[in-house]
Amino acid sequence: MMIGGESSMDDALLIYTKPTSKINPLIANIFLLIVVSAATIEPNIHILTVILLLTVLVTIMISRKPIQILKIMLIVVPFGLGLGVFYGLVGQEKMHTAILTIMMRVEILATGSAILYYGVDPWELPTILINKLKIQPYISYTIAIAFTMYLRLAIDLKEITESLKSKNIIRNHLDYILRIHKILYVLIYHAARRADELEIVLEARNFNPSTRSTRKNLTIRPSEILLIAVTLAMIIGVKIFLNQ
Amino acid sequence: MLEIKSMKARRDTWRSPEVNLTLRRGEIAAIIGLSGSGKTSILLSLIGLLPYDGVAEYGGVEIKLIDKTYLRSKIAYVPDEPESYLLNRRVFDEVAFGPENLGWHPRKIIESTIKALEIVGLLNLYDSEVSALSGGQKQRLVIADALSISPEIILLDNPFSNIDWEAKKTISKTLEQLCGEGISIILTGYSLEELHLKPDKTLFIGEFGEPYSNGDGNVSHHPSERTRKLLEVRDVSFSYDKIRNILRGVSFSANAGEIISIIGRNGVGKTTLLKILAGIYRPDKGIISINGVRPNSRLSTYVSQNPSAFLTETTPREELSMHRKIDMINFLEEIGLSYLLDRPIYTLSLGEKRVISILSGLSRGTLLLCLDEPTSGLDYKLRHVVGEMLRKATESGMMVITATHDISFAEAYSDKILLLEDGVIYDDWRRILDG
Repeated sequence: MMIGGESSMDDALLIYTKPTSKINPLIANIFLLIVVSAATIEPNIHILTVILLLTVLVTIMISRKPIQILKIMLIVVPFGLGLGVFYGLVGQEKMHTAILTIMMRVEILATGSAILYYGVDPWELPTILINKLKIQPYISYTIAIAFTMYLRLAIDLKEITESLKSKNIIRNHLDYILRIHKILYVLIYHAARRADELEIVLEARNFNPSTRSTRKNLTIRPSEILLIAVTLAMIIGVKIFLNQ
Repeated sequence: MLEIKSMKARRDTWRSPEVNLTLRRGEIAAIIGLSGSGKTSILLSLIGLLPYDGVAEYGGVEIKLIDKTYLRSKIAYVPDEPESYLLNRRVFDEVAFGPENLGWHPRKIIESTIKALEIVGLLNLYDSEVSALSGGQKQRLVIADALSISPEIILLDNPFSNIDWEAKKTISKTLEQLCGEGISIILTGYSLEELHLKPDKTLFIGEFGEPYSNGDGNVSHHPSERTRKLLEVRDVSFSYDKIRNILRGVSFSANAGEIISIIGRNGVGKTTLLKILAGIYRPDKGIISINGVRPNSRLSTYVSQNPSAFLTETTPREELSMHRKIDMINFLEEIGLSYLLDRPIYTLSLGEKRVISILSGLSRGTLLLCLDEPTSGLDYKLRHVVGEMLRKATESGMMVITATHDISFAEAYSDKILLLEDGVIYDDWRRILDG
C-alpha cells in the first residue's frame, strides 16, 4: 500500500483506520480476565497447568516472541517461589503443593500480561470501550493512560535492574526477592516522575477525552470469538473431566 | 506574533530570569542558559502550563487569557526527551494523535499527518514501530507531532541534546525549512555552538561563559600506570534476536588510567557494548578480559544514561557512602556541590543527578567505569566538573569508557576516541566522519 505521492485518500484512510493492536483489545482483556479469574479460584494443579499452557500458547501466537515470553516466565520464577514458600508456611497446604499452586498463578498472570504488553495498543482499548460498551470517555481513557504508564515502567524496570546488577546489589535471582525494597524504591520514584512527564505531554498535546476522535476500525474477528470459546470450553472441560 | 516583555516564569516561590523577546513570523529565537536556569519553565509558561509575571502576548492577546486548547493548537511544545513525548506504537498513529485530540475530521487528520511526516522526511516509515526508530528519527518524529496540528510557533526544549552529528544536521535543516514556510521557532540550549543553526535572536539567561573554558585539552598523565594493559576486547559479537548482529567483531584494548570515548550514531550499539564490558550482557562470541578476568560487577561498573535508575538511596550522602571504597563526599565538597549532600535525591535536577550517579559509580572503586552519555543534559559547567572528576579518577589507575555524542567533550577529556560503526570499532574516527 502506498501513502503520499500518487496514492489516493482511500489508501490513506485504510492505513489510518488499520488497528495497531495484534489482537482486539477487548478480546485480549476478556481472555486475561478468564484465565486470571480461573487461576485465582482454582486450586487444582492440573487445571492450573492447562490454563498456563493455554496462556503461553496464546501469548506466543500473538507476540511472536517466544524467547521473550520464556524470559518473562523465568524472571518471575523467584517471585512465585518466594510467595509459594510464604503461602506454604502460613497456609494449610503442603509445602510443595503451595509452591506449585502459587508459582503457576504467578506465571499465568505474568504471561497473560505479556499479551497486553506485546499485543495491544493502549490508545485502541478506550476506543473500543467507548464505541462498543458505551463506557464514559474519561473512564476509558484513564485505562489508556494507566496502560501507557505500565508500558513505560516496564522499560524503566529493565533499566533499574540492570543498574542494580552493575552496582552488585542484585547478584542472583534470589536477590530479586531479598532486595525487592531497593527495586520498588527506585521504581516508585520513576513512576512519580513518569506521571509528571505524562501530565505535561498530554496537556501540551491538547489531550481531552471528550473531544478526541479516532476512526480505528476495531472489529472483533471470528477467530477471536473462537479463542474465547475454546478457552472457556477447555477450562470447563478439564474441570468436569477431573471431577468425574 | 509573540511579544514577551519582562516575563518571568513562576514555579511556587521561584521565578525564572526576566525575558524580553519579539518573535515574528518565520524567525528562530534561541534561549541559552545553564541547567536549572529556567529555560524549560519559560517555554511551559508560553503554553499556559506554568503561571508567569510580566507580559506575554500571542497575536496581541495576553497568553493567560487565551483558551488553552486554542493556544496549544497554535503554539506546540516539544520537551527535551523525545521518549517522554511519544505515546503511540506506530509512527502514523503517533503523528495523528495531536489532530485527533482536536477532534478534526478524519480527512483533515490524514492530510496533516502525511504533510508533517513528509516535512521531517519520515513518510516512508509511517507503518514502523516507534520503538524501532533511532534517536535522531525520534527527534524528527516529535517535530512531526508538533507540526501535525499546524502550529504557528514551535517551542523546542534542547532539541540537539542527545542525538548524533548526522541527526543534528538533518534536524537543523528541517527547522530552517520550517522557518522558510513561515513557522516561528523558539529553542533552548546550553550554548550557541551546539544549536547547529543560526538563530535570528538569542537570549542569554542566568550566568554564561565559554564551553570547556577551563579544559586545556591535555589529559594528566601517569606513565607507570598507562603502560599496563587493563582491558582486552577481541572479536566480540552480540545480537539481541539471534538474527541481526548489533556488534560484529569488536576489538580494541586499553591501558589502566585511560579515558576512552566511544562515539557513533544513535542505535549503533554503544550502550550494548558498555553493558557487555560491565558484565550485564554476555557476548555471543569473542573474548573480553579486565585484568585477565571476565567482566563482572566487582571489576566493572555501568552507569546508565538515565541517572535515576542508578541512584538507590534517599540522599547523595547515603548514595556516596554505600561503597566507601573511594571517598567521593570530600570530592563533592571540593567541587563546590556539598550543598547537594543532604537533599532528597528526587528533588535534584537531571544534571545534578547525573553528577551524583557518576560519583556513585566512581565510589565503587572498580577497575573499569562505563559511563553512558555522561554529559547528556549537562551545561558546560557541569560537563567540566564531570571531565575533571574522570581525570582525577584515572590518576589512581581506574579506566573510564564513555559512550557519547558529545565529540567536543570526548576531544577535551579522552585519551582515545573510538568510532563504532556497523558493529565494528575504528580508531581513525575523524577520517571516517569526514569521509
